[in-house]
Amino acid sequence: MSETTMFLSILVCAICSFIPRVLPFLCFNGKKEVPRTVTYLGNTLPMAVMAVLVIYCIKSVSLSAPRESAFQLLAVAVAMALHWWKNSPLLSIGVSTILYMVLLRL
Amino acid sequence: MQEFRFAAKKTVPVLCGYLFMGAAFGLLFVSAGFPWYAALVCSLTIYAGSVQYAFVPLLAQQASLGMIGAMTLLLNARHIFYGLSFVESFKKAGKVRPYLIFALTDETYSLLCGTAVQPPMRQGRVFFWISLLDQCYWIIGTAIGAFAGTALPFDMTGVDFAMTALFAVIFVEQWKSAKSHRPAITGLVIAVVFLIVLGPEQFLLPTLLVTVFFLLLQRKKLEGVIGHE
Repeated sequence: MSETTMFLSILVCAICSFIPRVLPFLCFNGKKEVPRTVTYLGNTLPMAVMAVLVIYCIKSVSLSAPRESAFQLLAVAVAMALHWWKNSPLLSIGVSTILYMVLLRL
Repeated sequence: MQEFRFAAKKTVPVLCGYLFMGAAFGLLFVSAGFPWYAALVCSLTIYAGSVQYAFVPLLAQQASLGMIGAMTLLLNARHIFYGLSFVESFKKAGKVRPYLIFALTDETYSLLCGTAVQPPMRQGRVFFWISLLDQCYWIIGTAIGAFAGTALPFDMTGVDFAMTALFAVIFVEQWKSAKSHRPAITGLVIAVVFLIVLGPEQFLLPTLLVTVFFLLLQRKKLEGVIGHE
């Protein structure tokens, strides 16, 4: 891949990352009141989206790769259980990621 | 100076998380065959954890710019709702306002939400230092990972699981602090159903749209539980 293509891709990604961040500041610049519906979605959507993202990450779990799938599900369970128990992101993410990498090499 | 020290103390948890997550990104990026400096450019200009992770395979497969843009918008769409909380308070931040808007990641958002600034400290300054420090941690982490990845001949297969773990961790955190679990369950059920029906390549966008629809349907019931704030 050429450097130009790579940096062009990064540029597109950077712009598209910024758009959702700047949008509310452009739309609701203080003059208009924020509609109730938007506030409501702002409160509820993050929880729902996070659930969707967890599923999105383990979407490749399938019967065609039972071993990798089992490891992935196990590591997710470990991450969640550890986090429920110890409440330390570093610990939960670190331990489960290392566990997954080790399991893959068995 | 007082504001900087206050911010530095506040950001310690993010320091740990971002060094690790940034390093994982750096590793992932260079082990996919890209140069270290491009990893730094990503963390400097994109600065969005989940997006940067998802970006690596897209770049490796030479995905079209349209595909990269669509995926990024989709993954970052939740940030629209983060900004809403700060439309008012960022106005007082003056010159640093554009940077605060750019640097509003999940973790910075949660820090800013949980930070009560007492006078004589100025809120704008505190917000700026928190945002800037967080991004510095992210960039330093990226550099560590990128250089370690170039220097060490380890096989890093599986390191990308860190992203899955991050989402799982945030999910658990939100579940514990949520006044109602309905939104989480709504998202979960719809995602699983659409994954089964549409398959892993197609399900994300329809899932998000239908989730918004179902959240709106439950609005009367949920607003009573979580309040209007």
